[in-house]
Amino acid sequence: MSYQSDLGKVKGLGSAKHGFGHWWMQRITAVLLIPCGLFVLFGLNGIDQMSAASAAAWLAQPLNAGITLLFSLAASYHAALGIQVVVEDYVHGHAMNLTLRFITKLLMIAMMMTSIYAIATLLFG
Amino acid sequence: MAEFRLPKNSKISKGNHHKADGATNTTTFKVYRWSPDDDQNPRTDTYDVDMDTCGPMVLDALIKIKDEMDATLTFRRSCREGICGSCAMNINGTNTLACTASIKKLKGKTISIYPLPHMEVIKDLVPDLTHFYAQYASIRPWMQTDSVPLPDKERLQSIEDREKLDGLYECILCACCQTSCPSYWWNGDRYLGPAVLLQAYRWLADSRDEYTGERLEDLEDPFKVYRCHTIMNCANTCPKGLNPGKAIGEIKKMIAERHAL
Repeated sequence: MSYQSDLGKVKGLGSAKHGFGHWWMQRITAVLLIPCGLFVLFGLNGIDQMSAASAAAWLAQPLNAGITLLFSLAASYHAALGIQVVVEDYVHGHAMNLTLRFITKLLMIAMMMTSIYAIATLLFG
Repeated sequence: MAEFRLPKNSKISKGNHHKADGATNTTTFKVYRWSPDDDQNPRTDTYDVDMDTCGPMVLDALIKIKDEMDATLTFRRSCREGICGSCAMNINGTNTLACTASIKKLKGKTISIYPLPHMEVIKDLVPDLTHFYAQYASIRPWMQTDSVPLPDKERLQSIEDREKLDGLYECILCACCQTSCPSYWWNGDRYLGPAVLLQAYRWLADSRDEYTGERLEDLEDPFKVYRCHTIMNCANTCPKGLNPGKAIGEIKKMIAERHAL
């Protein structure tokens, strides 16, 4: 039983005064993914042989490596932002919500670090 | 988790069938029924309505059912001309006003009528809109100013500035859009929803209001505004032909501008 007014319930803890950053970065990364994604797609499609060695050789070129890294970082960030929204939308249990969002961020960092390590290794030997 | 299935005590069973004795030209209405006064699950009653003695709109049929067939049927209605928003309900799967929904234009032999989706039901077709109205009150839907007007002058507005309110001021707060929005279904406790946000933008767009900054500051919140995922059910269902999705987009643009973009 609560005697809190309906308006009091709606106002709750007040505005978080953020939300724009998330929304804006989701759009920035989405736009970035289009040219970078197409570059990687056509670049890898254009290599002589579909083998790990020829893919590694393609990635050893600085421009290819740079854009692929940008694609990978943007994709990881964009995916994490998107999954966060899905979790916030549908997972209402507080503990589960926080856990899933923590795992999402952790996976994002892991993916980013793996990409940087892999591409740096190919680029610098 | 968000609830995707109805709870056990909300499962709908088949109800009574009311026939129109002697009528040759009938339309069948399947209507959601639930009463808080007994422990029964909700049911759908069917009514065969004699169209030769019924008006053209769904609300006419509901009034005829209540007058002549089943006085226990409960629904809200007032103006019967699409301006009060009282008779908003879900008709053949779409939220709309019963008073402006033509029976002839609805497809199918049976017309299904349910209360507005995902709201607590008070009785039959009457949803509880308390939270919705509190959300509306929370955006301070009135003109806020600091400057004091001259006592013998009204606050002036140019024709161009007045035109910015077109497509906004017509909203009658029927809650059709609000209750058609999946984001509002899942997070209606914190997401303000399309109708309230359209109203919020109505005051943001008003050249006479002086609290634009405070309004935007209050709106910038992951839940209040940014739960809108541009699903656009709101624009599809609005019985007044308005576009709350566009108004929400304008709010997002104003917040972006506030962040110097």
